[in-house]
Amino acid sequence: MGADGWPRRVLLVGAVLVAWPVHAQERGPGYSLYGTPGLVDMPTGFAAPDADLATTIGGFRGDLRTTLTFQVTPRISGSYRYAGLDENTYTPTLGRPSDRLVFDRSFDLRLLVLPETELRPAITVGLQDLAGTGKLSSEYIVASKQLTRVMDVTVGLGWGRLGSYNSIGSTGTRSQDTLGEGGVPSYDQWFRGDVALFGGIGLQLSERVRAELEYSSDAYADAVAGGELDRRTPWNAGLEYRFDGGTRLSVMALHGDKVAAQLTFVTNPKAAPLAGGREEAPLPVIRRTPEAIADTSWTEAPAPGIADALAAALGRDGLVFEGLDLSPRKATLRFENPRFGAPAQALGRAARSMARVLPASVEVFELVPVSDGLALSTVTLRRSDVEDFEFRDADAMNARVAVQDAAATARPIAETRYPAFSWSLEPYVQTGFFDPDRPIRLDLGVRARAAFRPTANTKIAGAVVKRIAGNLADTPADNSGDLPPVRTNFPSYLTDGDPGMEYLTAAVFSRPAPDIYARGTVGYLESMFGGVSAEVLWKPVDSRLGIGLELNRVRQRDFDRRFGFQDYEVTTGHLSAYYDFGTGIYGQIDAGRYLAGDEGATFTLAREFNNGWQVSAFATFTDASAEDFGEGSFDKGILLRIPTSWVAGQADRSSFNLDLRPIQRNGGARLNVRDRLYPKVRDFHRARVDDSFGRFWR
Amino acid sequence: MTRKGTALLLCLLAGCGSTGDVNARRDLFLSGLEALDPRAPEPLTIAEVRSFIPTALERVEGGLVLVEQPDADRAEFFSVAGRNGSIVTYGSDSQTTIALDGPVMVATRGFGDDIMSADVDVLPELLAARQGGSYSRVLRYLDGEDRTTSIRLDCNLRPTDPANSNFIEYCGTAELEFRNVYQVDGGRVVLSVQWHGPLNGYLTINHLR
Repeated sequence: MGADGWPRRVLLVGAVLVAWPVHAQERGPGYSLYGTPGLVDMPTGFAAPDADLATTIGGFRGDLRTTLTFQVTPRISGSYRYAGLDENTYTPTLGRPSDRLVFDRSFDLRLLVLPETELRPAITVGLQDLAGTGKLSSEYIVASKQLTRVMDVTVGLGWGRLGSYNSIGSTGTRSQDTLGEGGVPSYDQWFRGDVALFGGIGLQLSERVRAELEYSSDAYADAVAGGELDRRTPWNAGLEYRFDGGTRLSVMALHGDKVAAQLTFVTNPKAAPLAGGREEAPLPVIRRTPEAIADTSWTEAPAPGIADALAAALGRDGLVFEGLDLSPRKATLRFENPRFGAPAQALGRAARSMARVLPASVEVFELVPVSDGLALSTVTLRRSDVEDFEFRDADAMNARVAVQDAAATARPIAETRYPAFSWSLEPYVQTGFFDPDRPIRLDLGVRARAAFRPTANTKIAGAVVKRIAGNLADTPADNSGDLPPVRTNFPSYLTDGDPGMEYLTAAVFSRPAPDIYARGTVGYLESMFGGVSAEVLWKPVDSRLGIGLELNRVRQRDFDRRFGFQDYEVTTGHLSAYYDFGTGIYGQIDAGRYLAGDEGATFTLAREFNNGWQVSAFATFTDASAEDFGEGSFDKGILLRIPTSWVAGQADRSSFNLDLRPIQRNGGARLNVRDRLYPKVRDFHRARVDDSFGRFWR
Repeated sequence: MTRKGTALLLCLLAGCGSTGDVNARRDLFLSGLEALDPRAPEPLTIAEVRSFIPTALERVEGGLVLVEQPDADRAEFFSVAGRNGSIVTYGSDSQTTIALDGPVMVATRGFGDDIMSADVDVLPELLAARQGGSYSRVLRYLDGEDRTTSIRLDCNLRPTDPANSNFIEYCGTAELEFRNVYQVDGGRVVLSVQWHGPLNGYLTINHLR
C-alpha cells in the first residue's frame, strides 16, 4: 500500500488529531454479465486498475456465466468465461426451455486504445468469445466518459451478437462456421456482418450504490427462439451494491422480461491483505566490539559447538543448516530454505544468525542456498555491513551484496546432516474443471510422502495418495481421436489406483560446471508414467535467460498405480528457453516431443508479482491434427498461483494453484516429472534476490 | 478418542510431518481455527496489562517498555533483545520487536505493516537536549508487492510547556500528517505516542525503564 492509496480516515488518539489524505477512492469499473468492464450486458470503454482480478458469477434462468477477468497490463485485459446456456438455446430449438444447461468456454481480449483524459473518453476495442464455438461472439469499439463525479456515459458499435439488434449497416458477411474443433481464433468473423449501436449511462447514487441503464444491441435471437427470453424492450437496467473488500452484488432487469443477479469479487495481487506479513520478528543483530574483531585466538582452540549453535539459530527461522566452512576471516554456510517465499528474507535471516553466532573475527559471509544438493548461488556480504545497515533502507544493503555462481565455492557438508529421512502426511484437494457435464469436480484426500537422502545430492522419494471423497473419478473418459490415450484415461487411475502410489523415484542432482545444473531421475515419475528422466540446465546467476534440455524414456503405468506397466512406451523431451523480462513478465517456450509422440511447442506467458503471485497463460501447438486432439483443437489454459504467505500474512513457501485448464486431452501432454531444475535454480539468482530485497531485514 | 487417534485425525485434517514447513502450515491452520473459536480467551486489554507493570519491573532486568495499541485495545511488554549503536531493539513474548533510537521508534517487526526502517535525523538528539527544532524524517514500509515504499516528511518538534517537559512533534507531507507526543521526566522520555503507520495508527510507548 503506498501513500497514495490510503483511505481517508480521521483518527483521534488522546489529544492528537490526524487528518488522512483526501483521495477519490479508486472505484474500479463495474462488470457486466459477461464479466468484463461494462454496464448490465453491454461493455464500456473503461479499463480496470492494473492487475485487478475479477471473478463474476451471474446470469438468469437458462443463462449462467462465470468469468475471470485479469487486467494483464494497464491497457490489455483478458477474460476466461465458462457459460451455461439452456440446451434449447444452445442449439436453437423452437419451444420451451429444457432447464438443462450446456456449458461452453469462451475467451475475450480487450485493448484500451485511448485512456480517458479531461476531454476525451476512454476507447476500448474488444473481442468477445474470440475463439470459441461462437455462441457469445461479438466485437466492439466502445467509448466511455466520466461526465461528472457521479455519472458516466457509454456509446459503442458492435458486431456479432452486439450487432444483432437494430443494425445500422453491415461490413461484409459473417461466416457461421467454427474453425477446427473450436478453440481456434475465429479471425475470419471479426468485425464482419451487421453492426449496431449500443450505449448507456451509469449513476453513482452513493459511495456503495450504482445504477445503470443501457440500450442493448443484442437480439438474444437463440434465447428468443428457444423460448427462454421474451425480448420486450432493448432496455436493461441494473443496480449494484459494493461491500467492503471488493465484493459486489448486482440485480438487473433484462429486456423487460428477466431478472438477473450477479456476484463480483475483485482482488488485486498488488494489494496484500497484510503488507509485509506478520510472521515473527527476526533476531536483532549484535554489533561486535573492535577488540573482539581483532581477536583470532579462537582459531587455535576452536570452541566446539559453533556449527551446532548456528544450526539451532537457523532452525529458529525455519532454515535448515547443511554445513559450515570456517576460517579466521571468512565463513561459508550452506543452508536450505523450506520456509520463505522471498529469497532475500531467507538470506537476511541466515546473515543475522551468522552475525550472532560466529566468532567476531569472521568478517566475510558466504551464504550458499542449497536445494537437493544443488548450490544455487553464492551470496557474499560483509558482516560489518550487516551491523551498519540493519536499520537502513534495504536498497543500501542490496548494493553491497554480491550474487555469484556457486560452482567454485567451498562445499562444507556437516557429517551429521546425511543420511536424512523426512516424511509428511497432508490433505490435498484436486480439481477438474470444464467437464461439459459438471463445471467443477473435486477430490479430497490424503497424501503421505517420504524422502530418504543418502547424501546431499541424492534422493529417494515416494508418495501414496488415498482419496477420501470426491467425484473427479466420475469424469467420463473420452478417448476419441487417433492419439494414444496418454492422459484421457485419468479417471481409471483414480478409480483403480486408489490408494495409489503417486511417485517413487531415485534422483541425483549435480553441478558439473559453472552455470550448469543437472538432474537424473529414475522410477515411477508420476501417476501415469514411469521410466528415466534426465535434464540439464544452463542458467548463469546474472542472466535473464535460461536454457534447458530434458529427455525422458517412459512407459505408461498400470491403472492400479502400483508397480506394473502397460505396453505404451515413448521417448519424450523438450528444449526449453526461460526468459525473465524483468518487468514482471516471464516467458517460456518448450519445444519437443510430447507424451503421445506428437511434436510441437508450448508457449507460456506470465505476469509475475514480487510477492509470489503469478497469473499465466499457456498454449501448446503440436503436429497432432485438431481432429485427433478433439474438443478445443489444442491444449491451453490459465494458471493462477496465489502464495499462502499473501493470504495468511505468514512466511510460507507454499501456494494455492488454480489450474484453469480444460480437461487435458492427449495432444500436447507433457510428462510431470518432479524437481525440474529451473524453478529451483531461479529462486536464488540475481533477479529474484534483488526483486525480493525489501524483505532482507524482515 | 485416544491421544493417538486425535493425533492422526489432526494429521489428516491439517497435515503433519518431520519437516518444519509442513508443521508450520498445520499451526497456521490451527491458529485459523482458534480464531474462529468463540470460547477462546480474549487477549488482555490495555488496562489489564497495565496492572502487571509492577510485576514486570520486578522480573525484568534492564530496559523495559510497554507498547499499547489503543485502536485494538492491546498491549505488551518488551525487554531488551539487542543493541546496535544508539538503537536498542526490544522484543516481546509474542516474538514481535520494536527498535528505538533513544525514545524514537525506528523499526518494528511482527506488528503487521511494519516500519521497515526510518531516518529520524536529529530528533533523538533534540529530545535528549530537551530542545525544539526542525528536521525531516523518512518512514519505510513494504507494499503489497514487497517493495519498499518510503514517506518523506517535514517535521518540527516544540515544547508545549515552559519547563520543556512535554513535546509535540508535528510531521506532514502534502498528503498526510501526524503528531507525536513525548513526555520528559527526570532527563528522559517516559511516555510517548508515536505514529506507526496506516494500519496500526498510533502506538503509546511507556518507557518504563
